[in-house]
Amino acid sequence: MQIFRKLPLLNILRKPVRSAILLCLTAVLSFTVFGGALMVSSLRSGMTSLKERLGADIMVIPEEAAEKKNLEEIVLQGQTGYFYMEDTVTKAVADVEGTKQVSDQIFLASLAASCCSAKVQLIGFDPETDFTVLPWIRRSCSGQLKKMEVVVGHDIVSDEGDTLTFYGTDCIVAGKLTRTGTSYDHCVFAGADTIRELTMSSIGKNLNQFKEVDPNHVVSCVLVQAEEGIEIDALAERIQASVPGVCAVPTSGMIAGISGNLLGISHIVRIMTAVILILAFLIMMIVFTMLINERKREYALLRVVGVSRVSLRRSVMSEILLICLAGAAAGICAALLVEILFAGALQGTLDMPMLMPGAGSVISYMLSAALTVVAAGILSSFWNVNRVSSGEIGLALRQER
Amino acid sequence: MLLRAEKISKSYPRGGREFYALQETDLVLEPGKLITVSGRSGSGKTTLLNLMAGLAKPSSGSVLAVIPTLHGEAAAETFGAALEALPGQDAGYRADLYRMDDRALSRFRNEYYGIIPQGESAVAALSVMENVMLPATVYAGDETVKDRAAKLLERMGIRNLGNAFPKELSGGELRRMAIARAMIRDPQILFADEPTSDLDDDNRDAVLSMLREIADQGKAVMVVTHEREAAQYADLRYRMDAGVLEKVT
Ligand SMILES: Nc1ncnc2c1ncn2[C@@H]1O[C@H](COP(=O)(O)OP(=O)(O)OP(=O)(O)O)[C@@H](O)[C@H]1O
Ligand SMILES: [Mg+2]
Repeated sequence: MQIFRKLPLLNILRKPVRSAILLCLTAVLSFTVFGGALMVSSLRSGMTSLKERLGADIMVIPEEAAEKKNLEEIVLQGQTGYFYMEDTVTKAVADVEGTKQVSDQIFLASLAASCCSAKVQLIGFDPETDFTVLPWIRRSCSGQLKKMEVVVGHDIVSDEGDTLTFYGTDCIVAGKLTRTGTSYDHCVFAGADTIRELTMSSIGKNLNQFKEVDPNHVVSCVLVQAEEGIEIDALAERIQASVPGVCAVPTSGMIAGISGNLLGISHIVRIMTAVILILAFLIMMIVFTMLINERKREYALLRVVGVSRVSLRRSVMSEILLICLAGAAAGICAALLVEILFAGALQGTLDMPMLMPGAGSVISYMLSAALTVVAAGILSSFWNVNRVSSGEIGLALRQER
Repeated sequence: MLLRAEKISKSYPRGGREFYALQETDLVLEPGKLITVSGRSGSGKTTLLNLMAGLAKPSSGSVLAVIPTLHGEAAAETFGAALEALPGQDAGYRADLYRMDDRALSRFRNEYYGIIPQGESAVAALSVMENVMLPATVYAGDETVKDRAAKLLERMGIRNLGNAFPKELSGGELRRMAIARAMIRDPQILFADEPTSDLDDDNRDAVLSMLREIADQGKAVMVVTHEREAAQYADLRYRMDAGVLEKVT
C-alpha cells in the first residue's frame, strides 16, 4: 500500500481531462522539435544524395529541350525528359578544351506492364565512360552489368533475378539501388548495349519520338566533368559555342539554387521550432503554475502528515515528468506517423528531394526531442515547485480553505 | 510523550510594524490530558496550534518534545542530531522541534503527531479510504493499515464512503475523514483545530467523546474549539484573547 509513492500517477489518472490537456501540450512540443529536426535532416540527405547522383559539372542537352522547367526537373528532381540528338555531339563535346570526362545517356519511356502501373523511365549509360551511375551501382549492388541486364531504382517493384519486359524484350534485374528520394528511384538503368537493343525494339511501339535522328546513333544528354581548375561557366559557354544545336547547362547553379531553397526551408523550420518552443514553454509555465497553485493546500496537507520538503518536491516533479514523458512519446509517435504517411505528399509540395536519415540519427532526434520536453517541464515548474515545498506549512494551510 | 512550549511567540509584519498574533506563551501538553483552547476569531488559536504542531516556526522561544522511549533504532537515527538524552537513567530524550532539520521534523510529525487542520483537508485524487491511510504510507507502510483504516471509518460512521472521493462528501463527512486520518498512526499527541465545526450535535458529541477516549488512552490532546460542550470533556481549559493565552479556572 504505497499510496504516497503512487500519488503522482493517481493524480494523473484520476484527472483525465486535465491530464489529457497537459499531454497534448507537451505532445505538440515534442512533435514540433522531433518533426522539425526530421524534416530538415531529410531535406539535407535528399540534397546530398541528389548531388552525388548528379555528379556532373555540366549537362549538355538538345537546344529545343532547354526550357527552364525541363532543366529543373532533370537536375533537381532527377526526372528525365524525352529528347534526342545525334551521338556525334558526344565526340564534339569531348573535343572541347577543358573537359575531363564526357559520357552520354539515353532516356527512354516505357510502358513496362510487369513491374509498374506508371510509365517507367529507362536510362541508358555508357559503361566505358560513365562517371555518375556506375559508382552508385557499385555501391548498391556488386558486379558488372552484362548484356540485357538492368539495375532498378529503389521504388521499382522488382527484385534481383526478376525478369522485366520492355517493348517485348526481356531484361534481367541484376540489382536494386539504394533510395535517393528523387525520381531516380523510379528509373531503370541499363548499359549501352542493352539500351541500343531496347531502342530498336521500341521503334515499332511508337513511344519515343526520335524524329529525324537515326535511332542507332541517338543520345539524350551528355554529362561533362570539367578538368581541375577550369571555370565551369566559361566551359559551358565554350561548349555551346563550338557544338551546334545544343544547350550546355552548369548544374552547380541549380544546385546552389536548391541549396538556397533548402537553407530557406531549414531556417523557417528552425524559427518555427524556436517559436513553438518558447510559446509551449510559456504555456507550460502558466499551466504548471496554475496546477501547483490550485493544489497548494493539498501540498500543505501532505507536509502536515509528515512528507518532507524533498519528498514533496520529488512527488510533484514526478507528476510533471510523467506527463512530459508521456507527451513526448505521443508527439514523437505522431511525428513518425506523419512522416511515414505523408512524406511523399510533402516532398511533392516542397518540390525537393527528401531522404529519411538513418535509424541512428532518427533515434538521436527522438531522444533530443524527449529531452527538450522534459527540460521544458522541469524549467517551467522548478521555481513553483520549490516555492510551494519550502514555504511555511501553517501559512499554506491558511489559504483558500 | 510530553510537549512543552517555552516562551513561544509569533509575529507578522503588518503595516510596517510587527503584529503579534501570539504573545510570549508557555504551554504544556501532557499524556492523558485533553486541553481546549477557545477564543474569538483571529485571536491566535490556530497560530498557537501550528507552533506546537511543528507547522510554523515561532518568532521566539522553543517547543520541546520529551520522549520516554524511542520506537526502534530508526527513530534515533532520524532525529539523531536533534535528540538529546536527558540526565538520569531511563529519563528519556528531549528534542527541540525547531532545531531539527526538515527531514527530521517531518518524520517526527508523521511518527508522533496526529493533526486535524482547520477547514477541509483532503487529497482530491485519493479515495476516502486512501486519504485515511495516507499518513501510514509516507514512510514504510505495513499490511495492517487497511484494517485499521476500515475500523476508523466505521468508528467515524463513514464506512460506506471508503471508496468515495472527497468531492462527493459533505463538510461534516470530510471532517470525520480528517479525524480518522489523524488517528491512523496512533499518535502520541493529537492536535484538533475546530474538529466539530461542521458537525451536527450527535456527531459533535461522538467526536468529542472520542477525543476524550484518546486522552484516556494516555495521549496528549489539544483541541481548538468554540463549542461550550467541549468544556465537560477537558482536563484544562484555556482562553485566547488577542494573542494572550489564559487558563480558565
Ligand atoms: N501570515 C500572516 N500574516 C499576517 N497576519 C497573520 C498571518 N497569519 C495569521 N495572521 C493574523 O494572526 C491573527 C491570528 O490568526 P489565527 O489564524 O491564529 O486566528 P484564530 O484564532 O485561529 O481564528 P479563527 O477562529 O478565525 O480560526 C489574525 O489576526 C490573523 O490575521
Ligand atoms: Mg483558526
